[in-house]
Amino acid sequence: MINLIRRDLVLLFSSKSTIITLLLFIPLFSLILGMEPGYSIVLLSIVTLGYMLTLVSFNFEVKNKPYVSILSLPIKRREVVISKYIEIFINYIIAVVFAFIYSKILSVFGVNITGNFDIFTLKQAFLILIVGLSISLPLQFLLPPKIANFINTLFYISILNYFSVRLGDEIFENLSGMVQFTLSIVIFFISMGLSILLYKKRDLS
Amino acid sequence: MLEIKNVSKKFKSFELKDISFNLKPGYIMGFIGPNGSGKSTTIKLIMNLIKKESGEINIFNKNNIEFEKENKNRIGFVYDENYFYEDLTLKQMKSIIAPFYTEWDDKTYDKYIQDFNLDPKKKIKALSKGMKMKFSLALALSHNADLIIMDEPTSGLDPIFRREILDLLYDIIQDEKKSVFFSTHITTDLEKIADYITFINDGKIVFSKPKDEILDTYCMVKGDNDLLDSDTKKEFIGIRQTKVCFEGLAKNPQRLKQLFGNEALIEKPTLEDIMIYTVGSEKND
Repeated sequence: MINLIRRDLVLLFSSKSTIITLLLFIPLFSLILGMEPGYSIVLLSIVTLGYMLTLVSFNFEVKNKPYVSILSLPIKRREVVISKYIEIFINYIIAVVFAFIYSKILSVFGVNITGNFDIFTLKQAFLILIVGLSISLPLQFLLPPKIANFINTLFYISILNYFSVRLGDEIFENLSGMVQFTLSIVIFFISMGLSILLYKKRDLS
Repeated sequence: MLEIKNVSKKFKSFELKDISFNLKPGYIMGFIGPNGSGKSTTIKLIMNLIKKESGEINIFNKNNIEFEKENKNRIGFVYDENYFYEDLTLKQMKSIIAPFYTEWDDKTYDKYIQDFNLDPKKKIKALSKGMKMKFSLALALSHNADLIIMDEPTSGLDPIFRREILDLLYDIIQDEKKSVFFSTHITTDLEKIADYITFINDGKIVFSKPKDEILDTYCMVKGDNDLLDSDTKKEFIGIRQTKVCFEGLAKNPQRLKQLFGNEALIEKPTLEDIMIYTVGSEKND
């Protein structure tokens, strides 16, 4: 499973366009939304980065069907799915660290991004990311990469951004912290089970 | 080594019907058939890329799904298309693939890369079809695989490199524990190296036998049209006629020698003859 996570990192750092997007999206968000009160660029950046890092390897599958080669290696489909779900946690940590370092660098140049790196924001980002990817990943394992990427891009733009930007502090407000966490983890495991089932049954040719 | 038992798979417009064959250790099996006959589908079933409807596939005497990981560790695969991440360099792609194999050997890989004149820093998308195939081969042969599965590895390649591949495969099976399963429609390649031939047409196995036995079983008969009547025509699997003479594929050369004596020329067929006439006759049926 470590090999699959390594693969995604190799893919991530091999693409100049992905690296440029990573470097530019926080200033871009700040520019577009930063002036408006009530937006948390910190929350949006962590969610966007975590979402992007987890799904980026699927973008590389649109051309040439490289999953045919990957699934011909000594690996089980179940492992491919589980590694992707484990990556959500790794990518969340990378996203937090990246957004934190990036915001500090920007502040040196006098650009302050809105929102704080407090426990509440980190928790909200974690929950939105877990639930968001629990919806997106089964689609990736069910549908051809081009279609799944298209639907998930729409999903990110319309739903995830909406929750991150507008309702970041309201989405789970009626539930206690423990219930929020438990609910997200239940959704996470249901999604993982569903993805395993879908991917195991899929014809990959 | 590789055992396919009564395997079936249905698609909307094509069906693989109850196919069976068996490849023993130390041999090369050629898997022939026209385009769309089910060669790639069979290979994808062996590699568990698509799901069979019924039947059983055993590799190294172990079920291909239950022992998938263990089996694939001992399989080297080469596909007809470039199923790689095109934007990566050869070095990056190798760094993704190598750690999955417990017996990956960097020295062997480097040797092949050097022998094939491949530049590890080059992006995969910058390689020609032949170079991509060489890279695929280098990956397949660098982890001490006991079974090499190749789907049309020589199609679109120049004769010199095709010959190099065949020599390489021949070297591999000098180790009697290793086998090669090789699908192609370039039958002349198989005449040089294959021990067994499995012929698939329209999703059904026509035969799976030792190559020499096949070439002894069939014969090509050439003669004047006068030799053909309704009875003698029944002896043929397929006939091609001009205004004056005919050429046809038949089974049982001894019987045809008795039937036509010296009036017809009876020769050993090529695998291509067998494939063309058999496919033609099945179409007419």
